[in-house]
Amino acid sequence: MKKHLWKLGKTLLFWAILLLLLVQTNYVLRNKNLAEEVYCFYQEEPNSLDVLFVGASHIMCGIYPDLLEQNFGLKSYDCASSAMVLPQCYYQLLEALRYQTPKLVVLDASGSAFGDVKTGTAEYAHIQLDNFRFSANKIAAIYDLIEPESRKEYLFPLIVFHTRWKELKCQDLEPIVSDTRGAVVYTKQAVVGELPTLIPREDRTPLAEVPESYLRKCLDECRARDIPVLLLCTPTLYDEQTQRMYNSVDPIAAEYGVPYLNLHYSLDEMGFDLRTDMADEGHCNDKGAAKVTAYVGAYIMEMLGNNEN
Amino acid sequence: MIFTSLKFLTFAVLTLVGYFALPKKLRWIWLTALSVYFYLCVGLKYGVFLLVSLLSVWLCGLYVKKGRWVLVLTLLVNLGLLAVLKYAAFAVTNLNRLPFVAIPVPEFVAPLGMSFYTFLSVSYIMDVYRELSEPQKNPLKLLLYLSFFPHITQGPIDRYETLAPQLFEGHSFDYARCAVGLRRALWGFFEKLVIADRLGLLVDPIFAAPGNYNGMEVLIAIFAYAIQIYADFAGYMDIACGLCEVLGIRLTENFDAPYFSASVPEFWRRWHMSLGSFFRDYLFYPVLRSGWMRKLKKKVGDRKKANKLATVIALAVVWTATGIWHGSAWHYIAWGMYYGGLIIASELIQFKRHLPKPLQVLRTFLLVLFGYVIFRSDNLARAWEILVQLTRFGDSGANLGLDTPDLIVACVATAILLVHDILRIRGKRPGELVAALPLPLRWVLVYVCVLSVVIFGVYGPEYNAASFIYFAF
Repeated sequence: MKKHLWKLGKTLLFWAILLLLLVQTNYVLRNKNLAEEVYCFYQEEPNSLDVLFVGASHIMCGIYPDLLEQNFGLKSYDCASSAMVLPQCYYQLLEALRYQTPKLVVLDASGSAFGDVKTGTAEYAHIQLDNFRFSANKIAAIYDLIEPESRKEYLFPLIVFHTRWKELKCQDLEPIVSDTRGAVVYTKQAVVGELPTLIPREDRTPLAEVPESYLRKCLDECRARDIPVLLLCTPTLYDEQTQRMYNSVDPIAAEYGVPYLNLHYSLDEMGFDLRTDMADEGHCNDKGAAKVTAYVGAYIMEMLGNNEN
Repeated sequence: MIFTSLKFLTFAVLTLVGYFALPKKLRWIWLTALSVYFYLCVGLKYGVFLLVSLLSVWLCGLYVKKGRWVLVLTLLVNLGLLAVLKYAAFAVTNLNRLPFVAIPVPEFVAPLGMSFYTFLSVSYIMDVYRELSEPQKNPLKLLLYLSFFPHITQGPIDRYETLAPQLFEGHSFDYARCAVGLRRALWGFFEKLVIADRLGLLVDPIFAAPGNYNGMEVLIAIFAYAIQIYADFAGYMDIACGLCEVLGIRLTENFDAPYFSASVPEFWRRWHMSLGSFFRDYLFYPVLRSGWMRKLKKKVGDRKKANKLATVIALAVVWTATGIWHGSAWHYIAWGMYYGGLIIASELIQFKRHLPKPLQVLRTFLLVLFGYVIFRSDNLARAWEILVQLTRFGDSGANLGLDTPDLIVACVATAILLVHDILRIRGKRPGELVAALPLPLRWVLVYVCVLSVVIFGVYGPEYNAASFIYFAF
């Protein structure tokens, strides 16, 4: 019996060490470009956030959680990643809600314009999914979002990134850290020619099937957990067609009874200048982000009924 | 299902877990089911050919005593199927070169591993006919022997008498044997993914367009191909044998440090050994002992000369068959005849072996390299182009296909393979040496090997996952 136990223990120890080595190798070798936004979310204390922002790069560049805390006392995090389309947002939301129970979820509505896709490019999908902790939600996300022939590359990212051994730097061995709570600061200013015409808010085009269904899934999930939602669309220089898609979120928001802040129609109120406050066509720079954060913060405070604080 | 795919790894784990979880009596059924599944993964239609072979071989085993015609008929069915599916297009293409001949070229695709399971079938019925083996009455058991997944795609060509009892016996789990088997399979993955597939990145472009490279680069490619094909084939064998070792089944060894052979015949006794012994037992000796050979010997009169002539004819037949077996193209036939010529020459000419052993090994290796030029080239014209290109000097400015870090990894890994084979020719078994190490050292070695495969292995979406070279044969 002792002999068998010794063999069993030895085997378990062997595989445990091997697993640890593989996990560490995976960490060292994987592409850490833009990883911190998703990865560092796990460093937040559980159930410590008041507001959870979920969305694409528009959120990362448009909302500064530090300013929100400084000015409104709201602790928040930008659970966002580049080109994160609404299906990805749905799994990001589920992942975030495993650790946090916020007073409000702010959902990026700009994903409504991404079309009938379940992920951005493979690189962007890796940025999000590789930085998820291993869980049933991660597996569900991979099985839902990724084509069958590529799933193994997300379940075992080493398949993709093992070739990075040639380009390893010291930073790859260091822990991923971020002090911006998911925000990305752009200081550059977009070169703006003619400003796009702002179309009437009633001018809409039907949403594609995939973004609409996942937007509804997000809203259903929050409703099921009794968490209020705010839909948000940060200012952009996009064309009229994209604006029409953003406007198409209005009837869904009305159907669910959730507010929808489409900031394209609040530029004057915010004091937002599209010529000076944008970093590029779709993202705010630091000046723009400060204005958006202040405006959204005030709106949230009002929404949460905390104006007196 | 390529051995180095995640799908196969999952399959292998399921195989092992299921095998030891089931009662001993049912284990061979489990292996049969998995082998059939493995085979049908390639395509359901290919199962038909396997079924035809199985039925003919099974019936032949049962009724071979009724007369020699049963054996002949079964050989015709099995070798005929192989000939039609694998060689019809080649034969018709060549016939069409004759004036006034215009036959439509058939577009058959030979089923996976057909060359191997046909040879397994032939060896079984011949052994039953010669009363070396008992006929198998249970067709499912015979199906397992023919389709056993570790050997159906690339061999080894195991004899029924040696392999079948092991397959049908339910083996108990043995911790030490399991560790030895898994370490061997790991070494196989190292050979295939770190060495063979990496060198393939260098070899393929040079053999595809040798005109773009200078003589030194072409020479490097030929040398690299020698390492690639060995690491590829031996890697497959180590994975297959390692997995079988865990199950308690010992497959026939196919390699024994072949590049350390002092002569070409010795090389072929150390390279693809099961194919060599198959041709020896089922072609060479039958040709040598055939009625027409006896008549020919009688005509020659002088016994010594007659024996020499018979051996030369039998060798010529064997080596032409070896060439044809490897593929339906002239360069394979030329390659077989090249080796046939060398081996016949070594039979006829008694070399005074005054060369020191290392030089004999070098001479053999150079002859083998020349053979690879014929073997690896797409056709004979390309082989000639490569040989001509060897004489061209000057900077080609071409990209070698591997950058410096990859070349360093390839060299270090090849050096490890060299050490492995040096140990073998010194009569030591690397697997046993590792098993004798103290536990911490053994684990470190295994971890280093796993991480080497994971990090330095050539796989993933950046690469076109290379199939094992011998899958094609």
